[in-house]
Amino acid sequence: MLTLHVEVPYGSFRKSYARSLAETYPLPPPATVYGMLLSLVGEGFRRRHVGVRLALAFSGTYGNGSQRHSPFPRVAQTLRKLSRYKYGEAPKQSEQGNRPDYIETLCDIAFLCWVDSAQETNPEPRLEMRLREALETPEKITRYGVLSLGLSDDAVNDICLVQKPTGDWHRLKPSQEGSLELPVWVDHVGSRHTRWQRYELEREPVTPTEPPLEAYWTVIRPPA
Amino acid sequence: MGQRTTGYQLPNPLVYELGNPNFTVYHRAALGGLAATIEAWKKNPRLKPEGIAAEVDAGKVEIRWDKKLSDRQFIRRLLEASFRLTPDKLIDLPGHGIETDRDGLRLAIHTGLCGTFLQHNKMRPGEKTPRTLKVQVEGEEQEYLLTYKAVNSYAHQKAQGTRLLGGDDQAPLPPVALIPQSVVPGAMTGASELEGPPEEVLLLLYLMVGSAVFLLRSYRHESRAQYCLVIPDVKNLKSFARNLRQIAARGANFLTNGYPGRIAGGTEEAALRFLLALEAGNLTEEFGRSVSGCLAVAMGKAPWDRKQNYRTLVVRLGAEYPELEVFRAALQHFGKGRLLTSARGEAFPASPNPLPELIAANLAAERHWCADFIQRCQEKKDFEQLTFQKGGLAAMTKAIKDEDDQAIIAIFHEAWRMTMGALSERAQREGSDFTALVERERERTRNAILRAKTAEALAGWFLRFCADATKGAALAGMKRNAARVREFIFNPRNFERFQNLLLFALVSYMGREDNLSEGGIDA
Repeated sequence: MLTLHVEVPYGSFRKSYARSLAETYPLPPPATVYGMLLSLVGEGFRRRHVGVRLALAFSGTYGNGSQRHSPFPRVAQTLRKLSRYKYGEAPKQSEQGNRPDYIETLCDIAFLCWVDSAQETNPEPRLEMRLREALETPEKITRYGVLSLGLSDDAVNDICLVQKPTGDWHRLKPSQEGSLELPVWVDHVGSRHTRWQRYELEREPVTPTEPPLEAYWTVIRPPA
Repeated sequence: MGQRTTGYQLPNPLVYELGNPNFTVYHRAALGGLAATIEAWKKNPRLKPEGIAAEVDAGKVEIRWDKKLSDRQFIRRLLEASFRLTPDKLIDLPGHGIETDRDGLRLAIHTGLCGTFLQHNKMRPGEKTPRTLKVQVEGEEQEYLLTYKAVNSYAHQKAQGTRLLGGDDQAPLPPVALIPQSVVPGAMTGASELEGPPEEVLLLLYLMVGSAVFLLRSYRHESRAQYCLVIPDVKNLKSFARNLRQIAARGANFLTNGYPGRIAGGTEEAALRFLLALEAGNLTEEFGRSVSGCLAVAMGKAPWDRKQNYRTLVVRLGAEYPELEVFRAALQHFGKGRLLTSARGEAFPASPNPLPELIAANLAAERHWCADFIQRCQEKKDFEQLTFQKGGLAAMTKAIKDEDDQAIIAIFHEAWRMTMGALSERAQREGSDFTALVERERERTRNAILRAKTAEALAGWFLRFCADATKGAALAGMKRNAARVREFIFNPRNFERFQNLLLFALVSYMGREDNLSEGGIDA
């Protein structure tokens, strides 16, 4: 198991049913975090590390150290040009080009991500080992592009290994009665195979000194 | 769940569980709508579809049907019993439980649905000439003449655009069904359509039943939102179905009822109205709260396209806010939607009082409940209007829970009461008009509060104001809360809050001014 600290100044995680007005999930979904980890190690096959387990905890303080009013990152709504082909009336893209639309963006995202490869189903090397290698000896990794969390606009500011987390963190706990639904596997074509899991973000922050308990892990697994 | 090579077969019985991890808030609201529809069949058995039996419990809906029915026949019968029209060609959703004599509420919902789920003409073919309907608003003698577009049929009756129903009822279902905009507003087609398993798409058709639609008339000129969809995060199907029915059955005292009850100032106000209405239904309920929050979606014209209504704002609201009672008080006193009549005699919704909208927006954004109150006081005309609403403002004052807010407002009121006393004495002494003196003093005070640009300047003015009122002695409220008040007023972070609270205190003062104007002293 390893622990990563990730900082992303802003990011948009479009909800699966949001075509007009790019509504965002209130937190980076586990599926997106998994995608970022694959990009970090230069892996192009989504199923290469299925079975890996992730646990997330979100920062209780802003970048300047002041306490957050809410454990959720602030949401900003802005106007951007978006492809009609992808999100609007596809035939109009060639004649009329992109059109503006509102997009929601999460601001000042910082989280801890625990990665446990013990249950990965494919042969080694495991994601955990590859992540360690990518962060400790990046020259050995073959990858391209700036590392981003989801959209390529949403670049990662900092990602590093953490030995012992400090500060206040709100843990994301899978819960059948939870008020958040976050995708754990995304169908990028028609949403039919998108799989969600419900979560609760703990209101009381903690300083995690121990590895996450069993209840806090999310297994990354494609639909059967 | 069997999948044939030739198509797809629905499982019989069809079981929808609220705890399904793949259910989004849309699914949960739709499941609430399906549960409400099934419960409505129990209340009114003539609506129940033949050959179909359904059961609802707190977390699950189970539907069985006659094995002789094909999947498509089952879906057709289910939808026929769930999505109906009245003889006046208004949309009639049995799940809402709206009685025949409550056309006002039905018309508001019809108008809202035609502007959101069914905004495209092809989704609700109907008559070209608008019809009119006379609506009686409870508590008013006047009847209002409202126009609407009568519909001959609508998309949900035949699962239009989903592939669930076609020409041949014996043909198997496709393994993948589509989710068009009429099912989930804003789900535009794009290069590939949104898809889902047939049973999930069938469920999503009931989103229209489970969500509440409001007509928005915001006081903010920049706001182009016309409709608001409130999509509840249902957590108890049985109690949600009952609450939905109770909302429709209530009288004028409940603010989501009748046509005016569905007119709201802003998105957040609409959502909190609906949540409070559901909660009111729970007072005699053994199941506990039926929803854990909601998603409010504003829809209206976007600057780049005037032809259709786009989603322009999405707000998530919880069911609990520390100062929710302040909103409730504002809603009770100022929340009644208004209808105006044009020169041609047609009625139309007018902007309601802006206070519930302001407070709801603040609560939803986790700002102080009184944030931006200053905007309502900067124009003299707006400020003077506020001074005529003291009853409601006083009720809001009583509902405040925050101790700092209570202390500041109480001290200001105490000082203001003494100032009034001094003015009354002066009026008696000089034989001048007491009311004119009070208005002048109020205007002077408003300007002083508005002109303060720093926390220090505002705190200095406040202390001077209190000292002038008491002729140098200490106010009782100040004595009791000296440390708290000092810490609050000199903290630069509290400047805007302090300014808003003082303005609120100024307009919310409920003294015995009427008596004073007749010569009495309230000191």
